[in-house]
Amino acid sequence: MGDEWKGPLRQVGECRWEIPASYKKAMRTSGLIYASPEMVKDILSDQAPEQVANVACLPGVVGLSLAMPDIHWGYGFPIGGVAAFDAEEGIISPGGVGYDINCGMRLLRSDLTLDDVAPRLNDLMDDLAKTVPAGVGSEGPIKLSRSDLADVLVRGAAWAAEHGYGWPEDVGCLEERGALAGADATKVSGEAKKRGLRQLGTLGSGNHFVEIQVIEDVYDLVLARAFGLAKGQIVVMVHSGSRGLGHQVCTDYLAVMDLAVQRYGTSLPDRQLACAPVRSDEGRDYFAAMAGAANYAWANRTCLAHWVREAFARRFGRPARALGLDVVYDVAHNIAKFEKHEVAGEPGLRRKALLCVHRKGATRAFPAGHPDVVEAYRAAGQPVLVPGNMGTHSYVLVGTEQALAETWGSTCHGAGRRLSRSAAKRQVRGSELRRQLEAQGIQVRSHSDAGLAEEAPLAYKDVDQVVNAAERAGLSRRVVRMRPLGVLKG
Amino acid sequence: MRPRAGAAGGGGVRVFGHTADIGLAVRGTTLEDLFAWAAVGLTRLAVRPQRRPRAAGSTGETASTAEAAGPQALAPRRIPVSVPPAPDPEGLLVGWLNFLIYLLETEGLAYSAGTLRARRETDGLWRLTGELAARPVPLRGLRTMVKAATYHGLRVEWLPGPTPENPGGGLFRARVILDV
Repeated sequence: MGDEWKGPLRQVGECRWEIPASYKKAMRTSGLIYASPEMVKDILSDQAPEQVANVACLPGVVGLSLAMPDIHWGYGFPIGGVAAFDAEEGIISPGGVGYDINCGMRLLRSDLTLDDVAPRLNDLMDDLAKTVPAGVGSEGPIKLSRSDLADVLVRGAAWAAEHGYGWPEDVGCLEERGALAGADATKVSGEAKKRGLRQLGTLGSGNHFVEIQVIEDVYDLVLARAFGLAKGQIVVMVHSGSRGLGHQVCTDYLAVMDLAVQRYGTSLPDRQLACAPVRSDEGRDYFAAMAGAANYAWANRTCLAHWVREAFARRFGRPARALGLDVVYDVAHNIAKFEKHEVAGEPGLRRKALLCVHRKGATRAFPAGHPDVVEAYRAAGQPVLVPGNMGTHSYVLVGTEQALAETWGSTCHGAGRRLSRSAAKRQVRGSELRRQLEAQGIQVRSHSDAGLAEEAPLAYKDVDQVVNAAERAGLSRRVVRMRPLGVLKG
Repeated sequence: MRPRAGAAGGGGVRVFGHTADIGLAVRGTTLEDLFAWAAVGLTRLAVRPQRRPRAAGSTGETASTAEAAGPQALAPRRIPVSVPPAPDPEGLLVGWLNFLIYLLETEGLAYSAGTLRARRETDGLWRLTGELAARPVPLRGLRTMVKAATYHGLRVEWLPGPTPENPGGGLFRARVILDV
């Protein structure tokens, strides 16, 4: 994919690879990459490990600079990167969250089976393509006033549900109940708001999608039942984020942080890691704006799920409630949050500390019993939604105690890219890919053949390998595996 | 990308593939020329080229006007430049491109030409002022939606002259990666 990384990588466990703190003078801690031995060659094929080492140089880093098995090159932080910073002495970095703030996944279950859907799949996909605004420059039917938008930024998914774009009970099944505390609409620029005014309820482009899937394998019957999932059941996965509003928040605050780095005398190995002390004005403002964008994303996925319900209801001639189209869960995979975790204290002792945990292309994976897991799943553990690519499986996993102890409760977020968009387009044409997928029984709707080619299965790592590595490392456990039937590409 | 006859000499822009996304390699005889060419490159990437009638007096166009893509049916709008101050020309280039991305996504306006001035002020910060002409383009017809210009691998450098592109003087050269 890029230049091969030549730095030191030492195997320290079955699926653990250390970049020692001695690799760079500025490293304050070691790096740790979770991957199976067979995945390492791909991981070393670009500079993502260097980015793990760069994150280890940031002030106030607590524990290790971590990378999940789907690690690949990103801007500043690698995709798949997880790092925690002391909430008093540490930093916060827009590069540790990414441009698409709270890009994430939502899963809807249904009472439908493959037999119900297969005869109508073609028409259903046409309905979805008509109902869900998608593609470059897409705008939705929701026209927000400025005061509506301010509400969305603070209240997130609840705003959408209260305005008829979701069900009240949806909110109880979302990470953070669909609204991260601390959002302040006044910290979101006018430019960002303008980008967000006409895009609520739109899928966007790139790797965003709506996918109809069938549950093919159940690995843990008890947990599957707890999540309301069973073999042969039809589910719908939605992947989108905070759209232009989130991109603009990241852009705005990277410029702010670019100046803050000079003001606070922070030395950085990569300018894209621009950051500010968490407790500085710049740091607080970024968090408040980032939380607003995260809430916009939760509202966005709530609206998208609403369009999905409408399309199903129309095609099956029954209300969405009668089809059982409930939310299973919704996870963020680009976000920074304040969380309490156990850290090393006095020799031999552990203590609870408030940390600013950055997850960029990584999913929170809290275990059963954790107070931050929504009530519906507290006894089971937090569902983790991991999409594959449009030609392979996706998974529902569950968080573990080991993830909480080792990775601040984090695991993988997807397959992870292995080819750049341009390289993917050089290897396959969109029209040819569409034919290949349809030959596999996967219906594809896309506004652009080029966009389809960019997201070709060959551009991604093997999601089975990624999920297996996360499980072997103890970061998450498989619950069910889904096979795609129809994909609406953004 | 080469300027047409009559366009300002020395400058240009080339798109290159990058690990994750795409980048612009830009050159210009002045910082302002460099910024104009970067805008041309961004517009070329984002906006599908469309045939347009030959403009009368095209030899008088600037390099950026000559190269900019997009439908020409509607008259360009004049927009004051609004870019945050930056600690160096690199940061200013990122801010400039992000301003153009914002205009494209919110107003459906693509860069056509500009009268720019880049300077370092007494507070040590670089500022970009001026005005640009931007043409309406249909958002649904965009080739790709560029999310942002990034700081990754960002470089602006001055090559003292004479250079092959500008025998009469030196040249600014820049590389910037775009998140698409």
